Amino acid sequence: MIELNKVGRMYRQGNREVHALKDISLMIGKGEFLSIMGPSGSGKSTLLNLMGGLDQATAGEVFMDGRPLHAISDNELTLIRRRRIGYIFQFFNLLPLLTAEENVGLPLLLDGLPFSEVRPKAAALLRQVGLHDRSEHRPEQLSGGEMQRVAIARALITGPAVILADEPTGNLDSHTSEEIFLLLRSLNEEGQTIVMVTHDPKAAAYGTRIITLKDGTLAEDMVIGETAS
Amino acid sequence: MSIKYALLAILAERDLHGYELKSSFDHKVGEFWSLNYGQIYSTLDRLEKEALVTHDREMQEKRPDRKIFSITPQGREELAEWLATPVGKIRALRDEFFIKLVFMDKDDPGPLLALLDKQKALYLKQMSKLTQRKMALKKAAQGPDSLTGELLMDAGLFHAEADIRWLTLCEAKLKAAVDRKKTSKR
Amino acid sequence: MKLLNLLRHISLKHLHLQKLQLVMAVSGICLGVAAMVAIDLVNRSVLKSCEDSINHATGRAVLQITGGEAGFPEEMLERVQKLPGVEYAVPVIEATGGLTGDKERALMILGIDVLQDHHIRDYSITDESAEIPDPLLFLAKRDSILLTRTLAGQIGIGIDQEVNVQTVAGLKTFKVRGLLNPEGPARVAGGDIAIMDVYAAQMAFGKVGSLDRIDVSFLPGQDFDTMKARIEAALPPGYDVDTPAGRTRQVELLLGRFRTSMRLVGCMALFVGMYLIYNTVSISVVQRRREIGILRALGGGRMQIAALFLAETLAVATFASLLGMALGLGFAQASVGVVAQSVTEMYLRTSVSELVFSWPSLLLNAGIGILASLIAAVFPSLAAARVTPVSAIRAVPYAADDFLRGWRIKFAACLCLLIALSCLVAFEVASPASPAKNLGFVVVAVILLLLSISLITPVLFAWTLPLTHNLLAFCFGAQGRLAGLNLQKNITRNGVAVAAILCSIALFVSSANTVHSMRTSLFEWFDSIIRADLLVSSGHPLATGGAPTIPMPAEMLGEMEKIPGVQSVEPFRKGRVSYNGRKLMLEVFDVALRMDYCPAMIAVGKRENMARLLPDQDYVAINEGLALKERLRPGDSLVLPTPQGPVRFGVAAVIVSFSSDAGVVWLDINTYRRHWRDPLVDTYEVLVKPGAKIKEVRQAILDRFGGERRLFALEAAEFKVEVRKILDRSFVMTNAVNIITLVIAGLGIIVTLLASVFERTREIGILRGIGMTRSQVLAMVLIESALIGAIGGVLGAAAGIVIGWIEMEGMIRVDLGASIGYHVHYAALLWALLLAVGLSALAGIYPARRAATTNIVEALTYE
Ligand SMILES: Nc1ncnc2c1ncn2[C@@H]1O[C@H](COP(=O)(O)OP(=O)(O)OP(=O)(O)O)[C@@H](O)[C@H]1O
Ligand SMILES: [Mg+2]
Repeated sequence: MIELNKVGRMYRQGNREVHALKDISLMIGKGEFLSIMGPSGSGKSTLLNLMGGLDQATAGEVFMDGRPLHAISDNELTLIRRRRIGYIFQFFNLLPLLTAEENVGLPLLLDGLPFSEVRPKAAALLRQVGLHDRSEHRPEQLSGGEMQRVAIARALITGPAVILADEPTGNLDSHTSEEIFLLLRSLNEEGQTIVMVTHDPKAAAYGTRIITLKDGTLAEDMVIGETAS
Repeated sequence: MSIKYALLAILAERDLHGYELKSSFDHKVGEFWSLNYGQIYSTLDRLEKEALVTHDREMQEKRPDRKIFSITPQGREELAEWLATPVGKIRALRDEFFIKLVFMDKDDPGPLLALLDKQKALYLKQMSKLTQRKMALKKAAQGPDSLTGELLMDAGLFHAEADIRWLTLCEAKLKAAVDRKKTSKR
Repeated sequence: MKLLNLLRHISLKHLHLQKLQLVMAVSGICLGVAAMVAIDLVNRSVLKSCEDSINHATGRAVLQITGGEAGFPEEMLERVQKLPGVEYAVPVIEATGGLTGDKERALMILGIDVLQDHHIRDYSITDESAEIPDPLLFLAKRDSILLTRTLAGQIGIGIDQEVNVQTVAGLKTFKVRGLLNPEGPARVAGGDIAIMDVYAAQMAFGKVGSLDRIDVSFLPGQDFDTMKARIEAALPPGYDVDTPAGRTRQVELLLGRFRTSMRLVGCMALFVGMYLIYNTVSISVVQRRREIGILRALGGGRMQIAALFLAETLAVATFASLLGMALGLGFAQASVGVVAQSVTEMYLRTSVSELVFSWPSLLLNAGIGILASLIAAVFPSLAAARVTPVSAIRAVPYAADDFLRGWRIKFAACLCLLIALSCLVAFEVASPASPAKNLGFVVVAVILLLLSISLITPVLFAWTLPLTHNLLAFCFGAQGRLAGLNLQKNITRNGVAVAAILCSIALFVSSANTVHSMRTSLFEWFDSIIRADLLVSSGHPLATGGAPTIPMPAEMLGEMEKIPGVQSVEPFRKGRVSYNGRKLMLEVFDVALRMDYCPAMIAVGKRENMARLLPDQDYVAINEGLALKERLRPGDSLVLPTPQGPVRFGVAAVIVSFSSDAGVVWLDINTYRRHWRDPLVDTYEVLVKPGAKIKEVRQAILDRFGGERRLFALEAAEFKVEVRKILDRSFVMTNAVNIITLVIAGLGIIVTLLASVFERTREIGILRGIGMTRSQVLAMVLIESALIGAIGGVLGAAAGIVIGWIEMEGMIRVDLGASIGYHVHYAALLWALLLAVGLSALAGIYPARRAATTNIVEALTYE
């Protein structure tokens, strides 16, 4: 599904080189629920961004479904992002002026579908995440947990091959967080591949596999549960 | 001590004999707390002396008689009072791991760091199991008992999380100390 | 103190961060101030040069006595000289000649009393002319002439050489007896002047026995008023006894329209500059809402916040205004030559040798720039003060707090509109003399109107937008649909952008329309009075304008009529006459002839009444400007001085004529000759018989008179082309300022869109993150920007047409008369729309490209 081969990401700061990631090799199979852990600044977000095609590696290769993300045009990369990847950000990143429903339907709108076709799908997903009565609300009229569930619905609308989540519950309370994780977990049990960055061991425990990053390198990789098939 | 109140609480639901008492205990809190029959019987003895519990004998063929225990009104009163009182004492720090920490060599942190990692991995695996059990519980039944179970599962998870976080902190502080030493030597 | 702290710690950082916006705002004010400074300097310089010409030519004279155009009897000189208290009274002949040679060159010729004149004027003769023969000798030779050293150098003529000069009596040859240093009269008209003996001049210019002017100085200790009264009493009625200062005031009146229109466009440039400031500050308030909220949460007072923004504006405006002063000097330097030429062609001879540099005026204009900026910043600063602390904590999007769409704003907009309308109505109904007929009312009305339009624009925008939705989706697919959605969702922010574009475009369109209307009216009028086939003049081809001419004798008329192919010849004569302190322009025709081939444009009165102008009835027609200012109507009468004494003339009709801003009087040539005893003619307008070839007739005329004098016979079409050129030159400054206005408007559009797209960096990052391609981002922003530009442009063009009409009504028609039509400049409209759409799109591209190509991860962390 996702394959990383000796991936590195280097930032230049003046004439100093900062290696956010060094020599990471990793295979993520279909149906896995991978948690990425590690101390702050260890490169977790950087890694996730590379997998999601938001950022380009400075060394090594990143494959998604066998397609080399490191060597395709921006347009192809964008299409992969749009159709194959669902990204859930820590700070939700909903468009503030659009309603929940419009936010959810955005990737399909980008794909050129008229809103009349997008709408039922968005409504169905909002129902799935328990927000069918909030579809006309704008982000600032929603709580953090609700916003994150909207973001999850948005990530799901294209039926992506993989969901990438960067600390999806970074600033939510335990109960709300748990609901989000249960949602992700149930998606995973239906076969959805998920990669999630987290600081929270409780969250990581929902996964089937945990990797730990330290100083930009892969420090540990362990399987803790069986992968749904 | 709280074995006493746990037994009282179980008996408050219905009368039970010793064996049944143990299995009910295991079912409810066995996840965290294992007891042997000896502990149960000695506690029951104490409770009878304090007149919080009485027993009837039940005749059995071929076997010796069985004692069926029941809670007295006095016992119920005591139980209610206990349930309403918050717990004053914090969890004791007498984990085996702490003892190891005390006796490890701080000048050569290598083995200790390795231990920390292994310990963490262990905890994480435990947490994963707990999470799976919790989700199984959630799916299987809906009822007061399953909610209690879930909450206890959560407690376990939170404790394990605390331990993992603490282990992570240990790791960070040890590393920082080593770094400091290195720079001061130079 | 606190304010300074805030300025230092916060504002400086913003200035640094928003360099582009800063540059735009500074350029806006700078250009506005520069335009005003340039206009002011050029105005002053031209006026000063006209005054200087007059002063150099008048020397120490305290009073000047003038009669009609054709002069007055020379006996008057003796009368004045004999009056007690008069020190010197010297005769002057003032004529225009044409230096013939390789290049035609107009020359002012001053005939003076060689023996007396140095008491009034200072002459100094160059060294090589040292052996100038004694004055008596100079006198004795009738062909003697003095040229200025400047002129002689330019045309390459030395002492004792001959020059040919075109005069009333035909071509004359003169001998240069000496050269004048550039002093006193030798500086008049930039040195294009020649000095002759007064008696020689009388002969050469057909003025035997008469004088043009007497310059008078008093003995010490004489009271001015008693002396003036004594002189007036000694002369027959109809003479002008005036001070040189009075003559410069007449020059001001003469240049009235020119100066008004220049000032008008200057104001426009400033308006647009003001709008740019309003816009920049508004944007900065929007962008810094979070910061303002935090400041408020930390205990910043409302007034402190408002003061912070005002102080920032003050700093920027001061810097920009100083820069504008310098730039304005440059503009003035560059344009003063063209303007002076245009004034020479249209009004009177002048040549600006240097800019009149005046610190008070420079500082005043810079001060106006600063003040205008502060006024423009007041409203957005107050809006900043309204930002609540909560907006810092909850990142409420700008659109969500509907300050800009609330009822308060609608109310304020209505109030502004109402006040603007009442100002206009008050102005309209007021009689010309009442204090309400004040330009201030119109200016206030225009500002308020603009304010109310910009306040109401978000609402207008909200109405217009849904109309475009389906079209967008149909034409552009996904990105079109998204663009529509975005615009719809963010009506407030986009409304502000639309308002900015609207105002910029409105101001440009209005000033373009005003100028275009004046120009078109002038051309229409010109076309209406030039109906002849050939215009024959001597010297300056534009004898009909304000420029000096070389007249021709009346006898030529009869001979011209004899030329085969000529159907009729109409004489045209122009002159000046004093009335209530104005120098009116006298335009003299053969009314009987003209009435059927070239009917006048009547503004007030009946056309039949024009017949009253016919000979033997003392009737005149006057132009609208004069009628308005002196409140004359058909049927009224006015008394004009003539060499025969004052004569009362009835007003037959009010006609359209823009010949002179001081006022125009139309008169039949027979009536004129009866009263003025002036047989000269400036232009002969020739009608060619049907079937005859114009070119042949023209050649025949030139052949017939060619030996005696140089003639210009222009076909009407050629003539009109020439006139158009000259008129267009007179709008050169106005056009330049209009272009500045357009540039400022463009800057405004760019600032607005840059800001609004930059603000969306994060949003675009999100969209990229969830799968929007770069080209989709570009297309979306482009569509949005262009649409904002288009809506702003269309609304602005509409508003501009209205505002232009108001300016026309309030500033132009008051002076020039109601029949100056309002003409919409369609080319300018088209330009404005193209500009609005094009610049908006262009201004959107840069930040959109940036946002589309920056790293998504960075865009997502953008605040
Ligand atoms: N644009 C950048 N320029 C320079 N260094 C960067 C840049 N972005 C990230 N880094 C560095 O890369 C390293 C990894 O950053 P990253 O955001 O992946 O950490 P993280 O593991 O997600 O941390 P956290 O848990 O705090 O989110 C950090 O040391 C950071 O300083
Ligand atoms: Mg991170």
